[in-house]
Amino acid sequence: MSLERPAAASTPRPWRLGRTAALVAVLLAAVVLAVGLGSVTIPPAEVLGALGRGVTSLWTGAALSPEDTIVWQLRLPRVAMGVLVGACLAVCGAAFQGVFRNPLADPYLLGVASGAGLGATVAIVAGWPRPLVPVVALAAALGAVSLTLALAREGRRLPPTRLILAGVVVGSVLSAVSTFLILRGEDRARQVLAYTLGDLGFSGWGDLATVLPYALAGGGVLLALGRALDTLGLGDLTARSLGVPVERLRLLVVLAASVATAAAVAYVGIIGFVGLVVPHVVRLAWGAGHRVLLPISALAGGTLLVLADLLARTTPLSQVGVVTTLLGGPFFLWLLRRGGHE
Amino acid sequence: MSSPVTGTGTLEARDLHVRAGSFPAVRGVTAAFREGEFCAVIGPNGAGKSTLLRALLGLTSPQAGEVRLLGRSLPEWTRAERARTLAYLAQGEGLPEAARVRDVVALGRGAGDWAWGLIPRRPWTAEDEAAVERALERTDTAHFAERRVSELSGGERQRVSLARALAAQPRFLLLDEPTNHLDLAYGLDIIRHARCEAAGGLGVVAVLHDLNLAARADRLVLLHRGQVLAQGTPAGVLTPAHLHAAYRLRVRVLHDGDRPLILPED
Amino acid sequence: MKTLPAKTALAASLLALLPAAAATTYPLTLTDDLGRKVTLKAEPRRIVSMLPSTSETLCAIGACDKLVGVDDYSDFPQQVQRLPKLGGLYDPKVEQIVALKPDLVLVSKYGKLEAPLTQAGLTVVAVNPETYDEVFSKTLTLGRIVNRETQAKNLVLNMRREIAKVEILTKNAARKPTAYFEIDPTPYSIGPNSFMGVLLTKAGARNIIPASLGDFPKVDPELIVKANPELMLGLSRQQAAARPGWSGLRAVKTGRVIELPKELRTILSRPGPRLPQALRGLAQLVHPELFR
Repeated sequence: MSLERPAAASTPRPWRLGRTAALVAVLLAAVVLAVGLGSVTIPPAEVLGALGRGVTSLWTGAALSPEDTIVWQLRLPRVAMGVLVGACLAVCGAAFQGVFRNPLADPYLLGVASGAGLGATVAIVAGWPRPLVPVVALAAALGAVSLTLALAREGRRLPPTRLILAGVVVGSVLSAVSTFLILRGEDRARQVLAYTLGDLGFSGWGDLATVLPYALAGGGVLLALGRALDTLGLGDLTARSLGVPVERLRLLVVLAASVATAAAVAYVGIIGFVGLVVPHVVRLAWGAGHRVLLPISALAGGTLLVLADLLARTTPLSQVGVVTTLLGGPFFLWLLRRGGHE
Repeated sequence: MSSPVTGTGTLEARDLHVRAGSFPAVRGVTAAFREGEFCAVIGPNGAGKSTLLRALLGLTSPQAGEVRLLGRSLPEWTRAERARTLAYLAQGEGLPEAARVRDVVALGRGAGDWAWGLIPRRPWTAEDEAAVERALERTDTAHFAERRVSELSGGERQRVSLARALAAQPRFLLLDEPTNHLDLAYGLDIIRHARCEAAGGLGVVAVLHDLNLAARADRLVLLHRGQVLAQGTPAGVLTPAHLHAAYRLRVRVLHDGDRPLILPED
Repeated sequence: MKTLPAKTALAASLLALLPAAAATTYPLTLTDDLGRKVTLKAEPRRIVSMLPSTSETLCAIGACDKLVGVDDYSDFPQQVQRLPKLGGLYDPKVEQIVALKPDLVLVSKYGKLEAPLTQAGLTVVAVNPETYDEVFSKTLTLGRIVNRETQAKNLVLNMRREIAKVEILTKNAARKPTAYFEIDPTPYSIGPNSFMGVLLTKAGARNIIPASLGDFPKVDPELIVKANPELMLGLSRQQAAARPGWSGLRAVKTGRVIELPKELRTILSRPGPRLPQALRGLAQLVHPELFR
């Protein structure tokens, strides 16, 4: 409340450099920790050696010992996937909360998760080869969002309320179909459930390479739209009076976020609460401007998911989706209560 | 009815017909608003005031007639030019609760100039900064510029919105019921700021419900069922006959100097 | 020749453990696997079985003709295939079950069948063999319930005898391979104390999953890479090789990654009278050299 203007105010981006540096440090620490720890104990020196041998094996083609394989081909891509997916979900969540002006919006709002869930269920219950499961899930996720958009469309407009309602309907219907299929194919129910709860267990370099372009494209578009998203906070009419093509913006955000989320969900399953909670926390500490909120959410989301996955693979909770939901749920309630006092 | 003044410095509606949804809310309005003038648009609920304002801003396309801004038909203006020239304070404008006041005001700058309307093309400059600073000062919001919107009162929020609109340094400012939900002091405060800006050369058009606040405007346009019932000086428009025709209400009009004072009769 | 006396001795000792076989006396009161006390007034003559393993056991002890209906998944022996199918664990056809007027319904302790059927006035017993030992004890229980005690005891004896035949081979195997058994690609595996885990050990493999992880643990792929098993069961070599870091594992390189034949998969998941066949099938995969 001081009348003096802090130095940061002269720039339109309050980065809060101290906090940002701290967050980056925590992310790096989380990555180091997550590569170093796991269900198999490998001493730190060995981990470093394994990384070196992993890199050199790229061109020498030398066979790796089981320990080296664990570090280089299991943990490292798994941790990288955690960072990528966490970042993706958090950015998409923040963008959705902004574009729908709804604090409860999350990346799954428009049926992406239910679509991916249905695709995976079909593939698993039908007994299709495992590598096909994410491909089908990705297609179904994009299909579900398209369906939501088609249902919500009003001429050339996409009214947010209709979008949210259409998303809820599409989500429920697709989930019901999934449940029906699971019950028909009883013996594979657990496989479907494990997928649905989200898991990074088999994320290899190949999966990472598949998800990366979607995440970069979707996330990149969202990051570029930060300032335009800010104007939406003033309401559609005001944003339009400022010269922002609101319908185009909304469509672009929905498409970009859906593409990124669909890829993430298809390859690692439905990880809850990251996209919902992370933007709220970042808003508390960094403020509401999307040009800061989006990139910081990416860092925070990546950090959170890497730590959650570390917890998942070193404790009996075993599924990262279980960890995020178990921690995220109560935390979100706490945030809500805290917000209520302000 | 006076014929509209054409040429530079006006925002005019010419025989404007606009629908709100399927309802013909504005039916043949001709009116001109000048730079340096504070003009209030009054009329009962459903008279078409807000729709007229949106049409003047180009946010709603008219069915017939046209809007001319500074002598050029509005559709000929690019989105960027329009956003620089016309500023709008919507009825019950939302504000991002978690945002700082300064950042909200800064949103008034530069938009419309962007690539595809979405991505800023140029960096933030000292000129932008100065415009924000000026807007904060002119609206008496500079002293809480670093606070978050969620900490502000209703009157303070409205001044922040005003600052946001002024930050664009527009030539016309269109306000839709800016005094709604404000107490007497804050309502007057907004009107005082609007008058002050008009005195500084800005064209101010405000939709107002409170006729006694509207009486402080330079000129009034009284709308009734989508048409202009009367326009001119407050004393010329706020007559018992006009008000009875528009509101179906018997009123007494007192005079405080040359400013009329409206008293509804039971 | 050496093995014969051992087998006889084993059979004799097993016989001694069993109570004297006799006809069941009704009313019979027992505590079922849901912990409920149930009284059977007379020998059941119209039985509905809602578990495939129970259907198999009933038929194996000569009570097949008592069955009037089974669940969707009961498919063995052939006689049960023409019986009315009454749904699965999650979607049982309660009305159809009631309409069949059974005097006994054998259900799984999972699912929600017990309450509505009991309310409809039917006699319901929950029987779930889950561990290796329970396969035998529940067979005897079923024998008592349907008045086929002698047959049940004989069945148990036969099963033990068949199991012993396999075990004698595998126990003396020169080398027991370390093995990873995948029950689904999440991946879930089996602990050594689970029904299938016991069979895997008896088949002459060394399970890489420690008992501490539980009976049906979700396994971190790291553990499997670290253990580097010589044999993998339950998935294809192609599947295994496609997983990150698995292509260099011993089993993948030597081609000892074996998908289970459908028939074997089915009987492995059914703790019933075909347990010895399941064990033999598994042992042949683990130690093909012993069964040439």
